[in-house]
Amino acid sequence: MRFFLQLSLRNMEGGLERVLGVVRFRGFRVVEMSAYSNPNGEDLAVTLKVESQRDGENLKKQLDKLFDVRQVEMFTTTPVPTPVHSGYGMPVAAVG
Amino acid sequence: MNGAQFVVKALERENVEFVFGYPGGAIMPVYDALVEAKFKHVLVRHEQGAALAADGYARATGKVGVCMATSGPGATNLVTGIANAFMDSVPIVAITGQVPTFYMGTDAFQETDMLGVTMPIVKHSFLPKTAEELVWMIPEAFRLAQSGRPGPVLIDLPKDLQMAQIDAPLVEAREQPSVPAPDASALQAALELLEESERPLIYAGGGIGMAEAVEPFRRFVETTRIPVVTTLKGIGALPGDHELNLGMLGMHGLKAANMSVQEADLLIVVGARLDDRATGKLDSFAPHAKLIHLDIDPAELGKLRRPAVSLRGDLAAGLASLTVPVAIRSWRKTCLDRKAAHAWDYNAPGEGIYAPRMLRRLSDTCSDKTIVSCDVGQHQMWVAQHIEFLNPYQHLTSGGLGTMGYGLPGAIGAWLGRPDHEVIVVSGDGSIMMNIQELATLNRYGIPVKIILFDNSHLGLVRQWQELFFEERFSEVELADNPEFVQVAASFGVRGMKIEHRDQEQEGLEALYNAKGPFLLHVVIDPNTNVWPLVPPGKSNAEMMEGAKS
Ligand SMILES: Cc1ncc(C[n+]2csc(CCOP(=O)(O)OP(=O)(O)O)c2C)c(N)n1
Repeated sequence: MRFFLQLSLRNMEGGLERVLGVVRFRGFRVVEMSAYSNPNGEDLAVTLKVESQRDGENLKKQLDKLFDVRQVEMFTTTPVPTPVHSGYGMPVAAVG
Repeated sequence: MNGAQFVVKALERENVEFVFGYPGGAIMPVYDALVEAKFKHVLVRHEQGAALAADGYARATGKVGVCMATSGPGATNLVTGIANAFMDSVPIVAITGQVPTFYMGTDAFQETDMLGVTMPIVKHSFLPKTAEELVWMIPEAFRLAQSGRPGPVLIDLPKDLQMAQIDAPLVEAREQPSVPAPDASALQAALELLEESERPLIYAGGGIGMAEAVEPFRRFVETTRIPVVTTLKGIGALPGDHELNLGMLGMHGLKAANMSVQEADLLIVVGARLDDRATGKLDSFAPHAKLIHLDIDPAELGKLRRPAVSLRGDLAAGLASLTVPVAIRSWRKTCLDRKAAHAWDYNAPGEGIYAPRMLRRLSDTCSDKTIVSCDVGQHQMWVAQHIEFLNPYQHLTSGGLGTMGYGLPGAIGAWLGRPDHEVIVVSGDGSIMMNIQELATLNRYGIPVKIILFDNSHLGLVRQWQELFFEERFSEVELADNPEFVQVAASFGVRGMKIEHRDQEQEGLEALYNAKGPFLLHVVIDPNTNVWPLVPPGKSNAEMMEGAKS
């Protein structure tokens, strides 16, 4: 199954890496990804499209526990594109 | 004040009593500042010992354990201990030196990317880039280690920040968010299930002790009078000799416990994560039971089995709401009859020492002021099976990671945290060698930890699996070349005694108890003695094997 995750992160040391690490370790594969920092660089808005046979709800709960993650939401269809908060718009990474 | 002095002040502010550590280049400014510290630094002889001692301190006291190491090899030596704390949800803070920020990312001498190395085994990790960030990061690290589901937090501390000036005042940590009571409608649904159930069973985990919910848990058991099975970490949530305690479930669980779980129509899972060593093959685990699952960590609810009712939040509050009498007389009798029918039999053939019986003897002399810290292997399972613990914090065992080498450093941390307790290590001849250097720490600080070393001249648990599941093709499990352990201990300044015959058991235990300082009792046992019962790996808990005692 494929679905989308939209996250708002504290853009601290290792934040994005931690999110991707949890996605991998819990058994999900990234199919698409985009990440934008807000102008002062403190926050990062991340959208991931992932796939797995496993239950996405469990992944969402694991991500929600991360200190860097302010908010995470799950969508089965393409979510409203970032920016999720005003002020986002500086791409820091885009693949897929 | 420089950053290093600030770190020491901030640790004092957190009421740290002990830091377990080992110095080196990238953490030298902090070691310099430690000269004036109000808390004590405990010098271990390998950084793994520092992390595991911090873990033992935390488990025994409920406070945060602290360990410290230099960058590179010092920091990587902490890794097993950090993973150990992560798997068993133990609150520790690990502080590692790091090369100066301007060298980071250049493969500098003793530079290891510790943030990267530890990422999947910490609750969180901090890498400050300015000295000012330490002001909030240190209290936040302590807060995070203890909040919600506890766990390890790493602070990787570049050396230039340790030497930079900080003028900021110390700050208090943010308040811990209060843990909410479980949702009222879910509690109502749980009460209805409890009411309807004819064969309910309580599945007690390590979360009960960690949430300091032992008292409300016991009130819940006494009022409902529902029989209880425990996980390895749940041991002690109910006293070992309690009538309703059916014992540990799982791979080396008690027959009465596993059989009752398989028949139950309702499992009330309290502060546990349904680990595979406890559940056996998940598809056939408790096939008739609905689940009420209470836990603080939402990610555990539904992770492995979907509960009929999830009660996320404060265990004490959740349990209090479920503390109602239930009418299950005949089921209770079935469970208790089964417990009686499968009670341990300590008769074993031969003249040698039968470890389970010796541990039962030890158990009879234990009080609520005894702590047992185990290593990993057959002896660890015998401790879980045969010692009756009164409280969870008295049983220190590496559950999730199964770390050979935990016992001795874990005991060092435990005794320093609770010096009014008798702290006993139960180890094996394989495990003891993993952190034998910490005998020097016992001697250095006069820590009166007592060690019972069961020597079967094998990696017993692996030998048992090779015997049973690999057609007796024994591969690299024989340790006939072990050193003379009593002599090894003596050269570290630790007294000891060796016993081999059944009639020496009492004498050995007396020597152990009467010794003023640390002591090692070397107990030779039969290598063919296996741990029973046993659920073969990948099998259902209904398929327990029993075998001969030796
Ligand atoms: C660090 C580490 N390495 C390997 C293992 C795998 N292992 C589990 S039990 C065991 C044997 C332990 O032998 P010993 O300490 O002598 O205890 P016994 O089983 O004989 O009681 C081994 C090698 C482990 N758990 N931890």
